[in-house]
Parts: sequence; structure tokens; C-alpha cells
Amino acid sequence: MVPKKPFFPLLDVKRTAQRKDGLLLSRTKAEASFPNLTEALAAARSMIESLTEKDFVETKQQWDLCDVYAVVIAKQGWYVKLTLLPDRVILISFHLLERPLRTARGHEVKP
Amino acid sequence: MSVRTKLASKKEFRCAECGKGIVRPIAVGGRQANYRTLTLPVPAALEIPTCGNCGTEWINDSVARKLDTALEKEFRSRMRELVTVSLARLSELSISKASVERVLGLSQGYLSHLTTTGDKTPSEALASDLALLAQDPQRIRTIETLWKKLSGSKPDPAGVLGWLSTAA
Repeated sequence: MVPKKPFFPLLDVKRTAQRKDGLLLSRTKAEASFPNLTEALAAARSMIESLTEKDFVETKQQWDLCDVYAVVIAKQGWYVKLTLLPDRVILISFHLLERPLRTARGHEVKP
Repeated sequence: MSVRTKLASKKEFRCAECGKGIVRPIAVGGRQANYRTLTLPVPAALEIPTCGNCGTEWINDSVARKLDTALEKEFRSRMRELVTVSLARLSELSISKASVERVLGLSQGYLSHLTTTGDKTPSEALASDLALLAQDPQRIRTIETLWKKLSGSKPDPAGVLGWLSTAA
């Protein structure tokens, strides 16, 4: 069976996120996980740059379509949810996993 | 009218948090932000993309840089103030900066440098240590004794903790 792919092509997501002001994340969520906002954006960019289709979990229809990933950073599992607009990536969620999550390819990512 | 047609400028977008409101740059007073260990006021003139429905603030590079700069400046100012008033209180009790530096293991002159120049931010650990010493200067003697007990050929960290609880 062909594994599910992200709705938003990763290449477009990465290219857009690398642009100045091309990545947005919510202030309260950034403050919860990082000492300051600049570090939060840098960590988010670095995380997005490292994403592969192996990390993809599912595409969700919220208000807009968004792709969910489970990614391991420094031996810890992180939950990532993002959507792509024409000129920016909105990082809706970026926090430590609260429970194990299985990727579309069947790999379990642990908190 | 659809959400898309409501979006008047390229800076606006539908909020990804609530899905209802439009996110637009807003500058308003009364906002606060967490910065390190403090909650600090956000400059009223700083425009932050904010959802008109749920109030979620969306941060990009430009906003992050401006906000972090403003918050760091305020944080540094507050930590320096705390250090300054703590040292003034200790000075009233004839406890010199040099003796505080010695007991806290700081370089000689470090505290003077910290309070007279603006190029260093006192850490929360140092600022809170100084505040606790200023509140109860007897703690300086306690710390001196603590270092003595940890010295020598057979230090006993667990025993030191027990001694500290009785000394407190």
C-alpha cells in the first residue's frame, strides 16, 4: 500500500518557512516551550527543515487543512501541526508529545 | 461575505487557532508577555498580528525581534534594580560587595560591574540569592559555614542538607 503523503508538499513548506516573516506561531504556545520568541522561531525553523515524509502522521480538516507530524528532536517526541498559506507557514502546534503517536508509515513516536 | 473576501490586506489571515476571527496587526496597551521568569508589559505601540475573535497573537520574525528586545530590556532593568536595592540593604548593614562576592563565589568587582554598566543581565539565580541575603543577612554566615562543611577530605553533602534544615 502506498503510504499517505502530506497535503502540503514539504518542499513548499520548507521554502516558505525559510523566508523572513514566512513562519508564524502563537505567542502563548511559543512562551510555553521556549525561553524567548526568537529562540522559538529558530527552533521551529530548524524542526521544519528536518521534517521528512517519514514523520508525517495525517492530514486534518480543521478550519483549514493542516498536516500533522510526529518528530523526534534530541530523543524527545514532538507534536507538529501546520498549514501552508500562499506566503507563510502557520505553525498551529509545536510541543512535546503527550502520548505515543503513530506515523502514516506505522512508526510509533514516543514522548 | 466569505472569510477570504474579508481579508483586506496580505498581512491578514484567518486565525488557525479558532478558525473564526481575522488576524490583523494590532497595537494596544495592557498586554503582557511571559519572559523567562517574569510577566512583563508589552509596549503599547508594538503591532502584533492578533485574532479579533479569540485574541491569539501570531508571532513572526519581525515581531519576535522587536518583542524580545523590548522584554529583554525591561527584564534586565528589573533584575538590576533588584540587585541594586539588595546590595544597598546589605551595605546599610556594613556587608560589603566584596564579602558577598566571596561567599557566592563571584569574581571580585563583578557586582560593581553589574550595577554600574548595562552590558550584563543579572541572572534570576543571582538576583534572588542577593534578595534572600538582604532579607536575612544571617544567611551569609550560614553559606560560609556550608562551604566549610563541604571542604576537607571527607565532605558530606547529605549531612550538610540536614545541618541546613536545622540552621534555617
